[in-house]
Amino acid sequence: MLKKLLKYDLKSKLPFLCIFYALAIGCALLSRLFGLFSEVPMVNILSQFFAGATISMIFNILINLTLRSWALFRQNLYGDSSYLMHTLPVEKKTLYLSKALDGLITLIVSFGVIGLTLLIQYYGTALWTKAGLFLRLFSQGRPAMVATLLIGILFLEIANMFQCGFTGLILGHKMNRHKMGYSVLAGLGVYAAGSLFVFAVIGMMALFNDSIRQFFLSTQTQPVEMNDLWLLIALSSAAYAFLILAMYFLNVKWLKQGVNVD
Amino acid sequence: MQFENNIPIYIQLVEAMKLQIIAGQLNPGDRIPSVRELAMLHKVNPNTMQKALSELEDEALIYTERTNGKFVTEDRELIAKHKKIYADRLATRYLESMAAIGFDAEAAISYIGKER
Amino acid sequence: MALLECKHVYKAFDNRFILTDVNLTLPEGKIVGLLGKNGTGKSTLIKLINDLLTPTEGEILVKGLPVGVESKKMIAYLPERTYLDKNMTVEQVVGFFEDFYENFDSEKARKLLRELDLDPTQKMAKMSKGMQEKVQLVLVMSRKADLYILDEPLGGVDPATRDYILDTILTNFNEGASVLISTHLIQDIERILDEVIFIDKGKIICHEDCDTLRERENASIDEIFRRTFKC
Repeated sequence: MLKKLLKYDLKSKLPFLCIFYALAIGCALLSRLFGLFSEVPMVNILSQFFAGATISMIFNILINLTLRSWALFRQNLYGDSSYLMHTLPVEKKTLYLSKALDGLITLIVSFGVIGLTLLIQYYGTALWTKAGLFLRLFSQGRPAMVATLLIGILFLEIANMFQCGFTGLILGHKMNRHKMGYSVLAGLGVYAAGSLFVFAVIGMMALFNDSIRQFFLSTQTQPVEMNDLWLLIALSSAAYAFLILAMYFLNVKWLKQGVNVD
Repeated sequence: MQFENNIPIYIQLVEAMKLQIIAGQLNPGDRIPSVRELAMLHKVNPNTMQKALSELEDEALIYTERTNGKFVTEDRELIAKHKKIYADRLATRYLESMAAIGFDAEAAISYIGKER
Repeated sequence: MALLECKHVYKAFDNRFILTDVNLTLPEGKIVGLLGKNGTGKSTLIKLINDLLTPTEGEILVKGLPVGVESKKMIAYLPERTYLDKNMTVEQVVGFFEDFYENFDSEKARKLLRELDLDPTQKMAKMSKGMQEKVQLVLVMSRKADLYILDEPLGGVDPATRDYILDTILTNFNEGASVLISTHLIQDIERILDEVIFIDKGKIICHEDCDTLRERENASIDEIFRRTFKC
């Protein structure tokens, strides 16, 4: 049943995502192409234009994905289609898991596409080298490695945000009136609480690790050693993972208590 | 068939089938379609149709042969008896209606004779 | 065993009780009407049976089982609203039902859709509301369920469609299956009902065999209803 639900969930998102993916990659290609002839002023302007367009497409992908995931969650579990979803012979847990996995998969694919887009647009350019130098300020490790780790944390942060939206919708719709209002409040509240938790974990780390404490507190940034960076990333990931799993179990439990469909 | 909603549907079905039998549209020994078929024909609930058939069976106008289905009774005397009851009812109604407009029984009867 | 049992079911929203002490037993093989004015709790009760709401108190059992995955396999529910994914075509929706319901007869569904002149390649979004409702009816009646629950199936449809709906209900009447029809349009439907349940202000007023009621009151169900619920 889960596979079937997931199939339908993915199918409903893919058409829109593919358009944005195509646009992002397209803009990156054009920007790069025009960049080859940047001596010509007109062409240079086009190159810059498409470079900007690419960046906006990237944001578009992420924002669209997040909002659409939340909207579909709400529509399928509490809107008109909920009359179909909740009367299917599937457990509430499966309904939720399908939405969660759908979010995860589309997020991973989106990150992949965005990575590809950035590579197309910037690999080997002056900006790329500058970014590398900038990363060296943070850590002694190889820029590519550091970038990957930071992107990993970003991924977890967005994944957490996704689920906070789901949690907000679940809690908000337990109310009888002003459901969307409560959903937004609950979502923000849960997100804030979760973020505090992650900060607390990192804060603990900073207490025990000088290099990291200095990194956060001192005004003159000293590059963090790779070992310490690994530790920071590992702990943050663990904190996020714990948060995401805990919320998953809570969400399923709250859903199982019963829904309140208009 | 048009149904009145204030009389039980099954009673109306019983009357309709009784009429068919005494009018000869259904002959003695004729096979009667299944409950489902009849229900679909009259567009009624199969349970209602079943009730009607049970009632007819109680009155011995139809009988069930376990493996072959339901049939109209071969008892022509019984059919004739029901025909008479129905005719009596019509006659009484005629006389009552005529009395209401001022014809006494004799006048009502000879009125028919004249018109025939 | 009773097909559906509601035992001391209460449903409240913010301390306002919509259903109070609802006790109900639905037998197998009957067409039952759930009759009441608008806003008296019919839809709430139906939503409770279909897990779209949870009872404040009391329990609901379908063939002895609580509301859950197993009960949903046995129930075919036609809500009042259009609830199918508007981006799907008719054929895709048939495929969807085939995917999730073992007791869904897709051949029958396609046949009924053909009879209704509905184009399988058309998107739900492009269909009129009436056509969408017909598709939904076909999907529900193509399931070999134990309990069919139809919430206001005749509301807002033309007389020809109304006849079609009543016919479809009668011809798809499985042995042992029951149909629960919730409506406030009694005249059109009473001739196919075995039993009626009157509901008012969240309470069950009566639950009787139709013909018994007719003989006792010497009136149609519609008339009895009007007498009982005079404003």
